[in-house]
Amino acid sequence: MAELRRILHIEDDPSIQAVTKLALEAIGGYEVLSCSSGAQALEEVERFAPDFILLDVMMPGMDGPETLARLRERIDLQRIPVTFMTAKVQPGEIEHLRKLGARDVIVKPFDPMRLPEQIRSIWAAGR
Amino acid sequence: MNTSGISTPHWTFALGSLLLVLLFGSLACNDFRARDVAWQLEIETHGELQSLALQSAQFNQRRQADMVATALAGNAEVLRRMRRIDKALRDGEALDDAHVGVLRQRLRAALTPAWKSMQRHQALQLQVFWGTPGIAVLRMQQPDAFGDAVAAQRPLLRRALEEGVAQSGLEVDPQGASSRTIVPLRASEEPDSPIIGALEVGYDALPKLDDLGDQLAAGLALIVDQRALRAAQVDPPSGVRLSSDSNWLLVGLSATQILHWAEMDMLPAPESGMALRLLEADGRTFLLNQIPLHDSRPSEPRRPPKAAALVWRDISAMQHEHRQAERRLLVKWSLAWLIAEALLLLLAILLQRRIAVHRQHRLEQRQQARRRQRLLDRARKIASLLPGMVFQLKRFANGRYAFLYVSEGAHELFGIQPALLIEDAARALIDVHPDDLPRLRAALLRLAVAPGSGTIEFRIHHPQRGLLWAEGRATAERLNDGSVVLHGFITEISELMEATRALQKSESRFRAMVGNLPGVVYRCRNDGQRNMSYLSDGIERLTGYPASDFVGDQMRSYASLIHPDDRPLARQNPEQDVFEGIYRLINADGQTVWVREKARVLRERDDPTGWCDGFIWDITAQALAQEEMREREHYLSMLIANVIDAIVIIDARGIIETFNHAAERIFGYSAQEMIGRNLSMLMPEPDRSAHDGYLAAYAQRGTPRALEQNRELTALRRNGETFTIELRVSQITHHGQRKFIGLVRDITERKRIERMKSELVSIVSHELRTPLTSISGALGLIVGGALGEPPAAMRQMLVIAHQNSLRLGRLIDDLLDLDKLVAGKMTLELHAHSLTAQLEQAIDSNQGYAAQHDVRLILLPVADLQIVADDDRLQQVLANLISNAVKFSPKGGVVTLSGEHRGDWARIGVRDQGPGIAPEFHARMFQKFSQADSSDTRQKGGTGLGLAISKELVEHMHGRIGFESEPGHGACFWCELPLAPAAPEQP
Repeated sequence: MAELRRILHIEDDPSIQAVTKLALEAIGGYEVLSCSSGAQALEEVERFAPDFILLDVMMPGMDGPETLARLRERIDLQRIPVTFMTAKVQPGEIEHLRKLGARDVIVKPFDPMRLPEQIRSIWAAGR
Repeated sequence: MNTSGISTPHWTFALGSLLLVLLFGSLACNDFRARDVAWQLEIETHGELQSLALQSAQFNQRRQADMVATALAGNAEVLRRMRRIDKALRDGEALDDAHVGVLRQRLRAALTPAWKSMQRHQALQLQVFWGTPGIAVLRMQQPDAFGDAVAAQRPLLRRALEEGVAQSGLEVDPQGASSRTIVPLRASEEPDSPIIGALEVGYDALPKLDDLGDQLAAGLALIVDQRALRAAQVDPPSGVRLSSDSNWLLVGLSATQILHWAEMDMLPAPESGMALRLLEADGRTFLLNQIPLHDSRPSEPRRPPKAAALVWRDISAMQHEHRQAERRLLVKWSLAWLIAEALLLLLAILLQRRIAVHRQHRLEQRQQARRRQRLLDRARKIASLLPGMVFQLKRFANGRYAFLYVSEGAHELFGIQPALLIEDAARALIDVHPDDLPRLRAALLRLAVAPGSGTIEFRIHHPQRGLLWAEGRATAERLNDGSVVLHGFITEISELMEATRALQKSESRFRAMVGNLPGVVYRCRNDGQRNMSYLSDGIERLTGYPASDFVGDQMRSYASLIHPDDRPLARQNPEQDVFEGIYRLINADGQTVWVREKARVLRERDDPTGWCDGFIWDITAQALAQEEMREREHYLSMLIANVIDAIVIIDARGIIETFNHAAERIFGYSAQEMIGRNLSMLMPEPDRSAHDGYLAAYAQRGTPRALEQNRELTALRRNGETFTIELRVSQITHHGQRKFIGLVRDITERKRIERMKSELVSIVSHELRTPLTSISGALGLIVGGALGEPPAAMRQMLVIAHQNSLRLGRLIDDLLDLDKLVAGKMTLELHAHSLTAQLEQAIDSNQGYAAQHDVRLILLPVADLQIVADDDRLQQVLANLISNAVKFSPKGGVVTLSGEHRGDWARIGVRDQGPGIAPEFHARMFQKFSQADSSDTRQKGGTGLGLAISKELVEHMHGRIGFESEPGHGACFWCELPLAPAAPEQP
């Protein structure tokens, strides 16, 4: 059983990128690669070989669901769970995102101190 | 027969006519005669008056002569002169002596004044004679003629000279007739002295004819007798004769007509006795009167006249009048006669007619009598063969009865031989039932008093056959002698009576039955006229008129009561065998009565028209109720038609029954097009196909899924466009049919706005959260010590910043929640949950928060209940309530949670020990941003939306929320949630 060590974070907002990276690296002790767009993530994903992917929903250009669809072509989503992060929690949205193939949804704003634990429990749930 | 009938009045009339002619003839004759006598009398009176006038004139002349003569004879001068002349003559002197001539001259001078005066009065003569021979001494009218002796020719003078007495008389001469007076002159004044002569004065016998004629208004002529002239030795004059053979001469006249008449010999002689006569000449009528002028004084014996006056006067006018009067008489009497004749004729005609009628009558009477006799004979023969009893009963003027004839039937009816009845009529009444006897007697009397026909039923005790019913019929005939004969017969009707009684019984039973019916039973001919043959008494209840009014349309027809507007509805078609209708009647009070009528036609082979039997009953109450219902329906349909929202009513199969104006507008179909169509045509697929199945399923299950809730659906317009509607469906039962009322609102516009808002909200939430995520994340990392412990002063500020960034995040969450709730976009998952578990979870979740505020959370014993709720949302509500309670609790205070059973609800209470809520805030407690003190919002760290969201959530869970509070005694917020149905749902 592999251990959760490498997390790919795809987020267009650099502030959130930084906060998330800090929280996951400083508190969770994970290795985090932050990508500013879906395209970049697609380029990096195979090389970085993450254990977990944190994906923002609303992004300019390629948005979260599209990125997810492209990722699906390259990696095994069963092995590498993808979790969305979204600020837009409209009715049924979480359900919709799950249907697209996401493992879970983390709602913004999130508590950075609890984020590593949250991710770990999502990752654990999929095992 | 006819001739004799007519001849009688004919000769009567002829005789009457003759008598009338005689009567009126004699009456007319008498009248004529009377008229004639009057006429004669008038003429005679006329003549008399003329002769009186002439005599008077003659008398005047004579008296004048007398007076003048006497006066002159007494004149002394005249006497002296005369005596001188006498002495001279006696002395032998001759008259033609000079001396005597002088004396004569003197005498003449003495007489001249008198003569002149006399001449003015038409005196003819003044002469003086001397001596016995009567020698003319002086003629004043003829001074040269004197000396001749005339006494011998003139008797008058002779008498005066001889007798010495004054004489007067009429003398005639060729000039006419004159009145003379001769007065003797004596020798001295002595009365018996010798007579020396005489003085004669003569005037015309009549005054001047013209004047006299004028006075009398008649023509006047004087005639003298030729013989008298001759006697006076006057030469026969050559004047005009009165007639060719007459001795009379016309000597004076006032008009010349007489000459013509004289020539025509039209004038009779005076001696002919025709003193007064009528003369017709020149077409005129004259009354000719011959009045003799007598010379004698009235005392002297009459002698034939020597002269006469002829007076004629035109009396044409009078005669005309007389003739007229005669004609009038004739006309009068003729008329009278004619009228009398006419009356007679009339009388005769009447008489004739009367006689003819009388004869005819007598003849007919005779024939009738013969015929009657024959009939009688025949009738008797027949009567004896009839089953009943035929009779002739005579009632005498004194009231006694006797049978004239009784047929053999008497034996059968009364058990008495006819002969016995004829002997004694009273036997017939002996066996009559005592109860019927008075009626029978009364009926007999009635017939006797007022002859006519009568029928009576009565009972007879037959000696062998027992009690019989009999019917007597009789016709009364009054005879001339005052008696009455009743012709009649009596038949036995026992069987008939039995049948009638049975019929009456059954009819009364029928009436009683019909009378109990709530309506009217009737029977009429099936001719569409409704001329009732029978109507039950119920008609009086229905119309206020008794049934007898209608039968045979005696007083009024049933059809006349039908409301004029409903006559077509109430018309019975004789072709149809069944009639049913509802219509109105106008009853006796003028009120409208709604009735329903059902009728059936009964036809038989020999009666193709048939009878119509029916039943009519009052449905006014029903009709009024229906009317009211109709009005209400109209009101509703108006309401429905004009409501802004579309209203579509469908039946249980989905067929549209109502489609209002708004629906027309929204869907683009007209009501006409839609009514009767299936509602599914307004739905796009797949709803369209599913709808029928849904309705069917609903009909079976009966579970209301979509009832009484606002739902949003997609609908289809006519033009194929789909659009969003909000639909609320109610189920009603109308006329026993299940129906659905769909209230449809086109919310396309609202949806568009909502969509925009939702997008806005999503954008806002994303755009707000993204930076907020960074802020609170960064602060959280610092405050959490991820970057090492900051200095204490800095840490305090960072904590404040971190807390406020979190609060901002909650505020955004609350706002979004509320928006979702209000917009109905929050979907709740309602399941049964244990109340205890929920409350325990709430205590656990909020324990930390309470501890921060130094407040204890206590859970009171909770009833073991299952509630229906969305557990996440319930926790959200409880967190709100608990955090509020904690916030307002004093430090060290206690917040108690309770859960109890109340009716159908589970009631959760959250009680604090805070300051309580001022009453003025009670109303606003559940409004947004409505903390009792707005400063609390910041002080207490709340968003101001908690209670508003809680209220929405509880109500979305079909629950209620509220609070109880008294300022200073804390507050208790509670929410009540529905209990879960029992067993199966329990885990």
